[in-house]
Amino acid sequence: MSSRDLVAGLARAGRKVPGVPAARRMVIPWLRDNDLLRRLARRLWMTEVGADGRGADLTAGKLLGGVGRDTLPVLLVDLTRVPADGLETVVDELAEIQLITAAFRPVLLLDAPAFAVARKYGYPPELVPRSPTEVDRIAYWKRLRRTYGTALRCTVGAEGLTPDERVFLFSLSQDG
Amino acid sequence: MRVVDVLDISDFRFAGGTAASIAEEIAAQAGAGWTTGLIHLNGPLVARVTGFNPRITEQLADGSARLLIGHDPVRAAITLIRHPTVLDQASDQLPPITTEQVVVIVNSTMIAPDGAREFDPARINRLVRQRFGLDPLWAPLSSRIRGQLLAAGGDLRLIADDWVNVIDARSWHVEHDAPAGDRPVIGRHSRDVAAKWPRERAELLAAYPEDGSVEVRVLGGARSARAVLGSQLPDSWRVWEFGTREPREFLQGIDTYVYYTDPRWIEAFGRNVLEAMAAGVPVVLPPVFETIFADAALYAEPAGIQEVVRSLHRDTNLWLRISEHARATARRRFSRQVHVDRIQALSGLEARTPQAGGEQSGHSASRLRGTPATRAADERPKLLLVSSNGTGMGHLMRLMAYARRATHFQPHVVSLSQGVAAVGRLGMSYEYVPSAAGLGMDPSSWQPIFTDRIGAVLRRVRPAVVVFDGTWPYNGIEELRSTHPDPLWVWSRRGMWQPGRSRDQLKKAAWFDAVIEPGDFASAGDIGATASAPAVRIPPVTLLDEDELLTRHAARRELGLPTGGRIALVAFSGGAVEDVTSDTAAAIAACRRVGLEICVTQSVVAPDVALPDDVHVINPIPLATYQRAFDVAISAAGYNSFHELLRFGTPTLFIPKRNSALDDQGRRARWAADQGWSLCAPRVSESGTVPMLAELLEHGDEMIAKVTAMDPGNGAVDAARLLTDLHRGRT
Repeated sequence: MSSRDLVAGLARAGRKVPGVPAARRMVIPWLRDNDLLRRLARRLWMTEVGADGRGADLTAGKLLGGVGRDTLPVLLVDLTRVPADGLETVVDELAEIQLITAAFRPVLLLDAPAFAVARKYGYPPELVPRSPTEVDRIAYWKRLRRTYGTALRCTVGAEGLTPDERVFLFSLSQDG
Repeated sequence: MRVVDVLDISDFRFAGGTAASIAEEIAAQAGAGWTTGLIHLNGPLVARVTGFNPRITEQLADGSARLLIGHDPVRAAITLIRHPTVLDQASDQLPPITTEQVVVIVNSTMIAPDGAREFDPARINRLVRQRFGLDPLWAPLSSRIRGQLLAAGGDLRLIADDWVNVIDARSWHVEHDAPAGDRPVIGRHSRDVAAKWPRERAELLAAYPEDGSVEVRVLGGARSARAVLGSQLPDSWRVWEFGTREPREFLQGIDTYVYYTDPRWIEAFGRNVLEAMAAGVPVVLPPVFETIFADAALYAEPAGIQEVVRSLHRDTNLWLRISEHARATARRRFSRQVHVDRIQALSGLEARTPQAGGEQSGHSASRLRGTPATRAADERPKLLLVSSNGTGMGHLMRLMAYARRATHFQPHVVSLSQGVAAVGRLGMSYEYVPSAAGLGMDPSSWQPIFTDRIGAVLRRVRPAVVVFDGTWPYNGIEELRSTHPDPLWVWSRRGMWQPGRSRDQLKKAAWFDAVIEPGDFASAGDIGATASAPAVRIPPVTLLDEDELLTRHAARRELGLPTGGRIALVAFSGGAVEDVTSDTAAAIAACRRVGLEICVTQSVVAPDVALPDDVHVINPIPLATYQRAFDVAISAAGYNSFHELLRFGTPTLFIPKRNSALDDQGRRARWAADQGWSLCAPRVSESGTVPMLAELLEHGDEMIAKVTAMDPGNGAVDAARLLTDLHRGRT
């Protein structure tokens, strides 16, 4: 018997104990969403950060539910070219795609402190320094990549997400 | 304020029947011209972080529904909450909602197999009152769930008729013959959870025997069944994991649908059963389902299941009668119109003509794939044409030749050739799949890529007929036939294989419903493996017919060639397998010596040959359109060039490709020369070619006259007719 079969067998046996299924239904969702326990689990089991930021200690925002959202790839979304009055629309759209695909955890890169758009969905924002030299910019991006452990990046233009960018974001989905 | 006609609130991550049912209702609402908003709640039943069900994602993309996120208020004529547990544990995620009617659709049992309550109706009532300010209507999917709700007591307003799941029966229609095998093939489709299987070994084996008396096919996985059996699954079972096959295609392969579950568990409806019925598969169920499906299914206690299965297998008339009645019931009692009618009755919404654009089409996600109105209106059956990469354009040209004449079909080409853009120039849709060589990949590593990519095309295009043109059918085809049994498959393989080579490939004819062999002017000289292999032999195939060629003057004008003087075509560019530079250089020198202007083709598959400035370089597709511009040709002897040059009257010196993998160009060219149709040389040398060019210029007309006399006509017409007949025979 494999270890998987053993665990499955024990789980089946456990479910037959009177009262366990009902308790399970109530307790497990609470456990899943308990921040403290999730942090503890991360310390115990999460050791490596993948090249796309999987494993980085970072929130997925408020929209997604379920186990594993802390291990989704991290996507740096450069919004510095988006005019201030277009930011909310872009972030709304990004949030829709995140919810539909459950494929990434965005970090919003802003060139002005418009943090309200990030707070709306609980996404972490970064304020990109103004007018840095090229050397500064390189150092900044290195820092970002060190911080979030990802090279996955989406640059949004002044007109918002292009069809190709949307397709790219949808393609990050693990389905199909 | 965001305004929609119908607001659907649910957890759109569900993988199984719940999402399928929501998707059907969204489609029905869109069909009635109503706008649909979706509010997603992260309910407790989906444990892992998961994206939306692909069907729902597709509907968001095509504008059938609109995703509503954030806390801006929403107004809707009617609100449908599917799955009470979703609201039970996630109602705090809702934005402010104004609505005239709230319906709580109870699409799963209220009582779990262990007796525990999945949700508390009184609590749901309270939550709805708090969030919406009105009492909900409760809509059980079946009388079994209605009974549970009534037993729960409390002050529940139940709708009069059960909220049956609906289905687009047309999209589930499959061609299905009565059982013909030695033993019945039974099947079932469900998620792999314990409650969906009989919990006792004897009962499970009564429904799904292990003794080989029937073949058991399972879509959805069978780990739970294995746990009950306590042993490995029987050899007579074939199991596919959930989501790995199209259910419709799965259903086409089974004779009888047998669906038995843990008797303690109450299946609220059984969408999988409805899908089987819509596909015309007779269904055998426990008697408890009779209140849902009435006389559209057969019912048996476990001990009697196999007798019912056997009687259906024995009695074709009975099978056909049950099959047709199941289809008719799915169309009549469970159509999308049923949903439209109940929404109208509950909300007062009037069905409108569906709007292609409007509020939803401007929505961000809908821009991803276009609105329904932009989808092709072409209702012809699809013809999928798959070409291998080969060394030239022959495979593609033959397929296009078929497609142009098979007007009964809507063609779509998938090619491994980088010359595939030629298909687009003829106005056909196409896509490119890189070959193993194109990726620098070992064929064994590449095969799964081929299978995956072609599988995706089959799911998307849903062809009625697939034609593969190539001499080496890839192993993935056999697997694809198993996983996508719907389309007919035809192998188009030319003859004239090098003697003794690739004989084993001919066994792969068994993977196909028909084999076409496009004829060869030199077929009488063919001594390769195909010469005696069974096939439907048709005359030689060319993309064009003679009346489609430009006149000499028009062709030269369009190619930018001198209108006067004699011009030779030098065409070694049909392949990438060898360096053509030396042959081309010698041919150019020979043409200069006999006073010919020179025109060289530079194909996309061999683009880097450097040429002198006084040589005209052309790259027209199809080249044959311009063939009358030339007085003579020096060409390789591939299938396509050989037949076009001879059929359309260009006196030619053929230089067979020396390292062609399988195509016996040498034998083809020599045969033609022996018949006096053309000349042939093993290679081009300036001194040897000059007298040959002179002979072609002097006696070319006589050579071509001989070809014309024996040409039986373009076999593409015969191929098109065969494809059409095959399809009509099936339908």
